[in-house]
Amino acid sequence: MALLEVKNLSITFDTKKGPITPVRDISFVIEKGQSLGVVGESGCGKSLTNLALMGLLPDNATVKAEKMSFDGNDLKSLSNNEWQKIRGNRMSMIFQDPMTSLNPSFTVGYQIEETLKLHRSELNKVQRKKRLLELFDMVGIPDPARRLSQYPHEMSGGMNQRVMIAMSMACDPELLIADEPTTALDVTIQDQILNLLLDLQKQTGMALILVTHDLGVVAQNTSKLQVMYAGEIVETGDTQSLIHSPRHPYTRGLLNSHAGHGHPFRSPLPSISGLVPDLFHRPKGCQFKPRCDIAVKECELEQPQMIDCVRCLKVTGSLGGQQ
Amino acid sequence: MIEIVDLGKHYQLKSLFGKAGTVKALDGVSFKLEKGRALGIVGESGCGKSTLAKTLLGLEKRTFGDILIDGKSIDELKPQDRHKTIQMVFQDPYSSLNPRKKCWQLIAEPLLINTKLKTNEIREKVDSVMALVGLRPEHAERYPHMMSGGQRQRIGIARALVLDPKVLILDEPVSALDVSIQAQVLNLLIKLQDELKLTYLFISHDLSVVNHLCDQIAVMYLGKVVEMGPRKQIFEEAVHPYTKALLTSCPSLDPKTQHTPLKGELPSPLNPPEGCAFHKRCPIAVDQCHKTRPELKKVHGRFTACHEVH
Repeated sequence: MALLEVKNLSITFDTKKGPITPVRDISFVIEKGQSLGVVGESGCGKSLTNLALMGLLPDNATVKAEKMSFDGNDLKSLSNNEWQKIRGNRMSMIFQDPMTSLNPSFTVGYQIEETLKLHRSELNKVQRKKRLLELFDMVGIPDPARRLSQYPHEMSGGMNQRVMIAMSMACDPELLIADEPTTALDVTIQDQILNLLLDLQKQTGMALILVTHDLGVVAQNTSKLQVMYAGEIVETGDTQSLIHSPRHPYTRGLLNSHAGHGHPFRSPLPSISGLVPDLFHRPKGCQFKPRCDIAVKECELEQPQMIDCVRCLKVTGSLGGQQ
Repeated sequence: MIEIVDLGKHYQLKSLFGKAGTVKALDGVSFKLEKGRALGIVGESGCGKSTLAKTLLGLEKRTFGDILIDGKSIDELKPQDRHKTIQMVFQDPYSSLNPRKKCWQLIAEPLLINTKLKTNEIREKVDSVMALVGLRPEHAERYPHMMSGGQRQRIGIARALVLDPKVLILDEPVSALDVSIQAQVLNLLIKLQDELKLTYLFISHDLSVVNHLCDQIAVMYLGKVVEMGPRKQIFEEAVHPYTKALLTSCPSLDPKTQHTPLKGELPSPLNPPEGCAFHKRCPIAVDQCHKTRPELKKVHGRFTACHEVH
């Protein structure tokens, strides 16, 4: 049985200007121990999807899904109490900016211990301390005993991100969602953190969702990849084959516009013209149609479905039915 | 031509009990840059790239060293002429534009401050610069919040260009933008440089962007240049261990090649290690690196500061 299964997930917000649906009709499956990369530009709904999985969406959001299950538990019908038992325990999350996601007025040791107090109440004080040292050791924080009693401002960004990872690993989660875990960090530190995440994944056998806007980060670190555009998944597949032979025009555009994609020195980079659609005025039919270079008239009429891992009428050849 | 000779910027930290220490944000940086060329400056946060930009621009007073423009010290220029020579494009187009001003007002501001042009001349100049950077006439009356990130960065570029500067400092001009928009802005920057014969100082942490655009590369570490030379030399045959580490840790689209990440972090600039600033993280450090600081020397067609490179 799949660890996480999401089927036709849509998220709607009621705003003053009317309802908007920043995430619609998303389906995916993660098996135990698998790593999944999610790429997309800002506003494509990748973070909202994660928040929905963790049950952290604000009250004005409505989540609709045919199925959303974690290891057999139906996430849609969980009560707050039941959420508490899963969130931070079997499923945990690390965020983009470690400086703002840690509480500045408590020591990092105290903040991690909180997780243990909540989810591992059978441990006594001594055992908790032992587990804390173990965790710091695992995420590679030197001199753990001293570091535990420090405050977030006394540490560097990379160290704070290690603290966040230690916190999320405190209860040996089965699924770790890392939402842009290295965007706020320098490249050499990014490299360290990504390596650490992969090592931990191998050691513990947890599943990993790595969300990022940087194709380079997922290219080397995940086995499966899904590309999102305007709240929809437009293409999914094996990371390497998707990167080397993209099929959806958006994926192709995204990869081609990357400066590190073997373009001759100072040659004009191919770019995707236009802008992401305004969610209040979504285009009819295919969301990418206004920016697409291979679009035909029919793309405007019919919303493409996910067929054979791609959401594009032209690529999947499903235009035939119209003629 | 712009030449920088032994430029330094030290900050004195004061505490209640007198002097607390010195931060050597920029410590003896020298380079020459020919007209129409682009120099890429790479390095991690805290390496002094932004301090370099600010010192060049005159936003920070330099502690020692000199900046020469066409052989003349920049001190000989009047502030207004300095602003007409060097301009800067900032990183974040969301926070560097005044939200209460319209697009054309934002672009006209440098003209109002530094020139004595009449209103209609200013309007004309603004219109021509807007066309140059690819903003349409109807954008003139819009406020920044009504525009997309890419368009805002175009405003940032337009207001830097409106005084017809010779040198443009670009401080991470695309890192706040989405990938598909980045390409548009990079294309624009290349086009502008070719058309206007601008000299670029391109500061970025994204090596692939620098590799696409700059003829010369300088790698900085803790206020000093550790390796500097032509693009090909740096990207294909880097010799300094820090440059090598930077290149391998940069995420690429190809399958993973096995490498061990660089250990440790940037040391505190308040208390830099003795000898080579990099020796604590360096995989090839020897005894000498703990004691003496390596000088920049010419090796294999580029400058590098490392004892172990001959």
